Amino acid sequence: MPRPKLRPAVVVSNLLAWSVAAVWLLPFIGLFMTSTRPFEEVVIRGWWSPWGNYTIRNYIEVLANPQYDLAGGFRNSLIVAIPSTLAPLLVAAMAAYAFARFSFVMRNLLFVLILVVMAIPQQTMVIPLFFLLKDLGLLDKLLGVILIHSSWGIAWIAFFMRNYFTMLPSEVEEAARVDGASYPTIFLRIVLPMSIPALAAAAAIQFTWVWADFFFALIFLYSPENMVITQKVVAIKGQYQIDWGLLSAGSILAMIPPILLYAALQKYYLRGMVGWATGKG
Amino acid sequence: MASVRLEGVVKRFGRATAVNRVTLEVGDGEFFVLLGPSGCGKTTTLRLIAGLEYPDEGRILMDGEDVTYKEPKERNVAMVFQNYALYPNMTVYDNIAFPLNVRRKEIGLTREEIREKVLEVARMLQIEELLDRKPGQLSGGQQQRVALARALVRRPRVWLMDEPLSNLDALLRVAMRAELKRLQKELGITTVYVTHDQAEAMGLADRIAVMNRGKVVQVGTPREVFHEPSHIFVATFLGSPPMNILECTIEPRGGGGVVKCPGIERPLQWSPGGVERIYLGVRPEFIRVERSPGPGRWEATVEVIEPLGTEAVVTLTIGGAIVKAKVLDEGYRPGETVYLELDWSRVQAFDPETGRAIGELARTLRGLAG
Repeated sequence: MPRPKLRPAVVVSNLLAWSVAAVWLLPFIGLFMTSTRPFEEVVIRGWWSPWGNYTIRNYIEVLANPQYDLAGGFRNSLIVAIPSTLAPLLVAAMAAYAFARFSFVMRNLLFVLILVVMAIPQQTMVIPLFFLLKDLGLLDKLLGVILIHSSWGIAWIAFFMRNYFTMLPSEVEEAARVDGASYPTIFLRIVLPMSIPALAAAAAIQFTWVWADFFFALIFLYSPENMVITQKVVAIKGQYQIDWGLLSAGSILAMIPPILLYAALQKYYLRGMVGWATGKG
Repeated sequence: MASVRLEGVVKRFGRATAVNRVTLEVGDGEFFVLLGPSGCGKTTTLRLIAGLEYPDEGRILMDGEDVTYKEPKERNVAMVFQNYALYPNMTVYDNIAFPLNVRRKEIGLTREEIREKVLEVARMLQIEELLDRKPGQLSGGQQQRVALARALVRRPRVWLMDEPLSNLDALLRVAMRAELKRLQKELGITTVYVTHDQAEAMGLADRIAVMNRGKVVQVGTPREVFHEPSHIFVATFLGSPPMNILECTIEPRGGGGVVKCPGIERPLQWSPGGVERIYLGVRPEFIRVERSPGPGRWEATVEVIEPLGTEAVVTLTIGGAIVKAKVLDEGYRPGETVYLELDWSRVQAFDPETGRAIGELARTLRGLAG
């Protein structure tokens, strides 16, 4: 069989794609290298020295030393991130379905409001939110952060899901109506199962977003026993010196849950994103 | 089983009137076809019957009961969509069982009874071996059968079909057409069927409603709408190729009159009051093409030949007008001079202003035949 000819356009686009990927991955590679080197080598030679010694001591130290309490951070982050992903997903999907399929008074105005919420920088809202949580007695409580992340997530997920729903063929839902199904039945048994790719994509993004949040956590959670993983990682940095190896190992560990989630949902996630972007769900 | 009646139904979308004062009566157990070009309002009419749209004016009755503003599920109708609209996340079994499952408590069926019903229609449509598959794993024809099974399983009052065969390839379409007709007759379900394919309409229908621009132009048996079109639109929409329309005049001459068409003249035994313009319609099947001149034959020139096997559609010019004839393929060549003979017993006459058929005039024209 003759080898397919290498066309210049293919070569160039491949080179470009690989370069972008390399630049994108470089910080991660640096982090990983640093996390696997003894302290002295990192200090003397910097992070890029592939021919030095390798060790997993940093990982053992950061996990075993109760001073760092990464386990507590993981636990708190999961307690925050799981409901902050599922709750807005359910609420936003229902809202999005209404926006996509029903006509009602002020529909467009409400949708514009959703877009406005998406455009507001979190930092501008932090003072009113602080007082709101304080008045509700939810300051320094995980529930407070869950509520904030959830409400923040509803806006963009509703936007995202509405666009997906409008792409679904309406005949399938009409068939269900003629077959005698009520709207809740149609939503739960027909529309949601058809939307798994989009739901998976939204879940992966929202979970990562909440997991990676440092800003809200920093302001609303201050007792060590309530701190989430991003705060715990920062605390690995000592007051007088920084053990870069330990800090990198903690960072790498903190990345694992979202990466696992992406890997698990990858099949759906790609379909959801591609469908969303090209309109061919 | 039920009869369906539409009374002066109007449906508007913004400024556009999709369905304009449609009045129809579909009899119990009848196979009724809505036929027309795309955008003529036939699908909207079907959706109004289904309850997927509500009319702006008029009433819809089923067995005399007013269902105009009832939800689809309150009407007990079933619908087959053009793209089948199967539930992609469910197996074939669950797809067929869905209409029963969603109202299981209402109709008081056990799971076992539902299972029996699903298996019964699956047997009827020969899709038993597909029950565990998902719609994505089926061919177009199989999906079509599943859609039919789903529409059949709860024995609806009315079967509604929106171009259900148009996504199938030609051979399968013809086979399914025959099967559909057999099923409908066996079960005796009142059926309203939408199509733009006249061959399908002629083959399936007990009666056809030909629609154009939101209005019903003619309702009749396939034979009636084909041979006795009430409007020039019906004449030129049905038939392959459709009816030839010639711009003619009727003039008094001597004691009687004469009908003058491009390249053709015929005396009449009846005298018109003055010169009248008419459209003369004659189907391509009722034109003979001869190679030798003779009485009642008119000279024409062959332009294009479309062979159809034993037959051919011959496009001819006669007196500057274009006429199509469907004849046995006898190797006509473009540019050849031939002689046309019209079967005057089959001609139609239409009013050039309104497009309506003028039956009396047509009968007069035909009276001269032979």
